[in-house]
Amino acid sequence: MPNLMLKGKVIITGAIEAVTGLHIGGAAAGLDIGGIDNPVIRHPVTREPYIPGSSLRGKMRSLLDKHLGLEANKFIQRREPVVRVHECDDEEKYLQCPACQIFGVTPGDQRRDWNRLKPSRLIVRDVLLSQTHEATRRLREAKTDLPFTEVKWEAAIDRITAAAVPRQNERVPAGAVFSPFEMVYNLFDLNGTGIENDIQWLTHLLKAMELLEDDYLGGYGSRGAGKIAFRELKVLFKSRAYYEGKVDKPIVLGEGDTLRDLNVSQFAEKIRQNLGD
Amino acid sequence: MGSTTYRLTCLSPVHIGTGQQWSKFDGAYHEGRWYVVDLDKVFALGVDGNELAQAMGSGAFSWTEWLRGRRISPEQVALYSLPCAQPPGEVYIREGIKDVYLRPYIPATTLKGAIRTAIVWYLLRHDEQAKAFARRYLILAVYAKDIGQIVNRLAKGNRQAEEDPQLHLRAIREALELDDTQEAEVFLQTLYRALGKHLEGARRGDRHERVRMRDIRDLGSDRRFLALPVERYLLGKDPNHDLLRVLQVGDSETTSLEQMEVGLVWTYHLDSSGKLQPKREQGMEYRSLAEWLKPETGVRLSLRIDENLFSEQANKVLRFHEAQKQAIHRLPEVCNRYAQAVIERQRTYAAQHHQPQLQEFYERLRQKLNGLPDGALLLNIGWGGGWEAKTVGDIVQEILRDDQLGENPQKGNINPDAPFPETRLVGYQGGAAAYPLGWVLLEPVRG
Repeated sequence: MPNLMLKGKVIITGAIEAVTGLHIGGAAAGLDIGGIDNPVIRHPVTREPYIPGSSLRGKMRSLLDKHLGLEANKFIQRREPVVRVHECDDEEKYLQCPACQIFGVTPGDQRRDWNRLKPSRLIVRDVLLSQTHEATRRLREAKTDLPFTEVKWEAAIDRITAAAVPRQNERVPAGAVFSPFEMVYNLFDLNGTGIENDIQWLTHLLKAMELLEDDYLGGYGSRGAGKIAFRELKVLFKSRAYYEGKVDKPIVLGEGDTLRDLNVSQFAEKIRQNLGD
Repeated sequence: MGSTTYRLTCLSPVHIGTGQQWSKFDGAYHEGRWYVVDLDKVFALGVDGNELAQAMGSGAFSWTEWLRGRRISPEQVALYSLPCAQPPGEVYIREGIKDVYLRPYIPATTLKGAIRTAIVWYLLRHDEQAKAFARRYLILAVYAKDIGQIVNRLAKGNRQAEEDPQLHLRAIREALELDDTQEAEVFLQTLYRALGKHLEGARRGDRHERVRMRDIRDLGSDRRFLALPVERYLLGKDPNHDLLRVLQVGDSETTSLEQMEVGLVWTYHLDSSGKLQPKREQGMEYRSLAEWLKPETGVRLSLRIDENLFSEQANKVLRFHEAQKQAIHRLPEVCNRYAQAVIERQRTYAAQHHQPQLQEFYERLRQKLNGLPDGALLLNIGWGGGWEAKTVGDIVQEILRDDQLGENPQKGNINPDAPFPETRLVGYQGGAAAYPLGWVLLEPVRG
């Protein structure tokens, strides 16, 4: 029987600012009269737009896959549009693959015999529109087309006739702030093999966040939407000893208004020093 | 190339519309300014809604008069206001795009659309095969109805026969009067590709690749999508495989309303003496008003090339070829070659049709283009730039002329040698014709 022990949690919190308009697609309005073509996802209760943790997580994984040059070898969908992702299909490679370790692999027949599988390290929570930020107050007061969103009209122009086909996209306006966001990175020891790799791979998570800032979140990213920035960041470490009540406070690994302000290179040493084993 | 910051400068007025047009019910003109009325502010002053609705129902309603009668200044009830070239009267005002905080900006979609047009033009100009495809496709589009009728006649109501590629080949040969079977076969391949089907698959009996008579008959009939098969040929079969995914353009930063004004745009047309003149017909003046960014307005934006999509791994799926990669990596050159072609045609047109203001503007633009710093580029964006700045029209006109496609009125009624388009939109400044709309300069910001 595998013996899995949680050795601690790294918790990254902060805010996400929409630097340009943000479109994370929701269910289309269907036949609603006046319904918009491409609506954004909204919270089912408050009807405010939010960022699903799955969008954030999926995009960070995709960017890290590309950054590490990992092959998109697994088909999610074989028919058009074909969707492929990376998942290690060899246990030895898996043991050294930061993307598969951080974000996890799906169980499958080919992994039935693997005995060094660990759960994914990362939990990414949904991020709601900030209830306290000045930006949300301004957004409430702005004359938006729909609550908290703008409807942007665009036109596709035929390159022979110049005839225009209008379309509309709903976006959360630039400047909106979603907070608090929270990502939890677990440090697991499997069968006493230690957590050194888990500690080292934390930098890949922060790299994925940096890559996301230079890419886009949601739809229409190559034409303007979805540039985001992580703000008001705080990275805490809660050791096993903390959860057992032997340590009073979490350790602050880093703090700052932007990713650049975090001293990421020091994180590993601070974690090792405060494991409390 | 990673992300590059550019400074965009308007060289002529730039109007990027929202789809919204303001009428006399939306605002008031007062002492040289246009005020968009905020009804919330009106009602906050205790105005009776029924009374206002009744006033609006009368044909002569004017916010200016209505507010004056109640001693309310337009500033008190304005959502925003802009300098306005002239009282709008019954003329609509095209709203210019702004964010929700009323700050104008240049949307990435607008820029990317203009860049896409330049890339399509460049690839067509430099790829004989692509131009040959476009030529065959346009010929098929002109003769589509004829081919459809022949298919109908040959199939004699047999649905299976209607979808037989061999019968389509016969119909093409007959409609286009082709003796050469090989040439007809190439046209057949073009037909299937233009319709997004695989000819070989259809020949093997794959039902997903069948082409129906109706598909042939309707080929190119919707002018909103006439260029689509050519774009797919040049850039990729669908949005997931499209070359322009590689180029990530950001919305520009915002600027202030101070940079915007309501300008006058007049439609010019060729009069009986061949002069380009303001259009007036039956007492009607063809002028309009638009909220535009003033010349010399500057904003910053970023462009990024996602090199991952050119990687060996991505190439297994996307298969972008060398000319496509070059078009992206040499973007300033591509855009400037296209701009040069547009400027040259417009300048010649203005000279031929005696329009000195436009001719001078294009002369200055040509000089600017010739002296651009490294990495800088010219684009025409937004509304008012005209058909030539939005299309690959010069190449289409060459094809029409070379293949004499317009000569038989029954086959399309196009005269490729006639002046086309006959109209131009001209932006006014200080009451005089001054410039075409939409020209911008993008310069990389160093350091």
